[in-house]
Amino acid sequence: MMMGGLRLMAAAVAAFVLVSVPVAAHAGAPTDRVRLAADKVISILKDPAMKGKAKEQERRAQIKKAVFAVFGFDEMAKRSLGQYWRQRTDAERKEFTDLYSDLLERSYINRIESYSNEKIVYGAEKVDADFAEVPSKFITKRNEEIAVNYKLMSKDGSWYVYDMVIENVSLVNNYRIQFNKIIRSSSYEELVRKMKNKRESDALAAPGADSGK
Amino acid sequence: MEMDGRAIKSVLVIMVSFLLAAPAASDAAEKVTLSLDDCIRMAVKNSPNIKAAEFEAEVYRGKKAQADAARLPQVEILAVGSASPRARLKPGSSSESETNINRSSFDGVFGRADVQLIQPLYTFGKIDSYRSAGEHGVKAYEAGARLKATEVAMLVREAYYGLLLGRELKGLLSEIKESLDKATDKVRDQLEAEAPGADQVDLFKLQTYQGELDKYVAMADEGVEKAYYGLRVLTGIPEDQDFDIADEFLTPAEYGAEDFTAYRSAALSQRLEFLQLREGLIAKKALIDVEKADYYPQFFLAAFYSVAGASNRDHVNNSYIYDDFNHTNGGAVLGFKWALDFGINAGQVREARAEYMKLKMEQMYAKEGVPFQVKEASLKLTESEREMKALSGAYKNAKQWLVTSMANFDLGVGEARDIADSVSAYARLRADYFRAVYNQRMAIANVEHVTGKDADGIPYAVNKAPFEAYGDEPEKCEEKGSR
Repeated sequence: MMMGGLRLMAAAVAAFVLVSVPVAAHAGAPTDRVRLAADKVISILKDPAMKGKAKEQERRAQIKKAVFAVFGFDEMAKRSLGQYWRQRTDAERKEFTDLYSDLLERSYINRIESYSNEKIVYGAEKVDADFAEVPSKFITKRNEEIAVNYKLMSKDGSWYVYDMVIENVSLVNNYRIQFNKIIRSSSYEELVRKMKNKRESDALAAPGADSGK
Repeated sequence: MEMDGRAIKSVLVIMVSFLLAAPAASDAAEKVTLSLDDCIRMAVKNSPNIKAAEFEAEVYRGKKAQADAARLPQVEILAVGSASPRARLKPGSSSESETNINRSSFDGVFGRADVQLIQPLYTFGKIDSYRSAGEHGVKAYEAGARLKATEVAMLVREAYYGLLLGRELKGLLSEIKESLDKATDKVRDQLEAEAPGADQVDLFKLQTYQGELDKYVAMADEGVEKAYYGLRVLTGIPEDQDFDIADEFLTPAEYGAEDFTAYRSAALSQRLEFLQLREGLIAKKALIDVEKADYYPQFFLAAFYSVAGASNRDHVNNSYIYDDFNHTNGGAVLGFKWALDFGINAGQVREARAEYMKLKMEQMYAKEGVPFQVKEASLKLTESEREMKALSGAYKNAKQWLVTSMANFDLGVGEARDIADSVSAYARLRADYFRAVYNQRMAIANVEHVTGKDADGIPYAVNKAPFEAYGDEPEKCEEKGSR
């Protein structure tokens, strides 16, 4: 469901597409990682050769590659499932992670494409061993400020986003609560069924999708 | 061929010349951008209400000018002429006349001129009291003009901030409408595709919100248009002149509110109404003295000269005989004028005293009423700031609700209707927040107004020569006064 016009959920990922204000001198690798991805996506969106309906799939593929290379979906999925991750088999974990990342990618790419030069201001990053936090403020055309903080962890020499805190709402914490509720009241299988239904629903309603009628 | 080529070239040159020489299409008047201060400046400059108050002060300048001139000599000249009756002295007599006055004896003409000069010497304070009344009357009405300027400035602020509020609400509503329309289309597509999880209740809910939103969009449009036109009228910007305001967003003001005691004290010393009342009371007191002065004689020095000549009358050289048609005399006198009555003057003094007391009572009422006004304004300011703070918090909570409902929906673990509910709450609270910011802005303006603090900040100085703009001809006055 496209609520991108409200600029809230998409603000998190939109950090990668916006015109970034130069970061203060204390910015380091985590902030740079976020900004590099942002610059890459800006260039894709602004590229005249990538504009238009005909180029939609290729454009989305490139954005996905640029943006989601910095997302640690394994870690995000694991943290979101919380205590129930331990009980899952390897195959279930892979299935869950694929579902999770697929749904997030689909939603956010839709929103990224609707952006147009809103501003983002990065704050001072905090690094503690293998963990970092990059605060930012997203400023809409209506002069509304939205706080988006990125939580990153270092793995194999690179930084990856494992959580986004939007207006003090941690996505990972929120999902953990929701998933726990569904698993406790119903089952893990019910959770997966809901997520699969959503994926199918999105695919059916996507532009150019065959509705089967 | 050559000739044709030259001819063609000539035609082209002529055409180009015409194009270059043609008067440029009249440029549409460039759009002007006005800050709040610009709008206030223009409004006070153009306001007929303020001009009316300036002319009221001018009335009292006229009265003062009369009083000032009353100290100076006044000359009166009376000249008359007409037919005169024949009058001839008997031969050998210096006083006996032969004239029988009848219709046929009006066979000559006469002319007469009388000149009188009076210099007031002592009037028991009457002239000085008139002068004082005029002087303080001018000050009272000048304060009235400044007060009008503050009222005009308040109207401008209302329109300016009203326009900002309308635009913020319109912006918010457009954002939501765009999202709502997209969401409705998507749900419709999902229902048509028989996607799992698609629910008709979601569609109905979204369509209900769409209808409600259209109503608010219409209200916002009306609000914006009304405020914009109001600003145009107040500032006197012509209909064919495009303009816009400098501020883009309605933001809370940084304002250090004072306590009620400080505000009350400021109001009692700075309010222009109190200045008007003070000056007015001095003027009214002076008018009582004017009336009281009539209990006493007015001393003066006077000089007179009278000359008359008739074509058909002999001159009589006799100190005991005075001929109205034929004489020359003059002199200077010291005198007094004293009009005595049995109650008229006393009634006039009483009337003047009552006028004074009426104003005195108004002053007492103001001293009681103004603190209440200040209290009301101060409480309103506190309320608006608390409301703004509360709504800012509530609106942040609504944002968090929206974030979670959208995040849940993205992964299929939340309902579309939750998003609709959170959007509705977000929109309502955000709109209420903008209204609270508007209320805060106006509450600050009102506090400044009721304490009299706004008067010095307004770019206005009383025009002490209001006739300069209009001259002495009323037709020009009407033309220049119309917009």
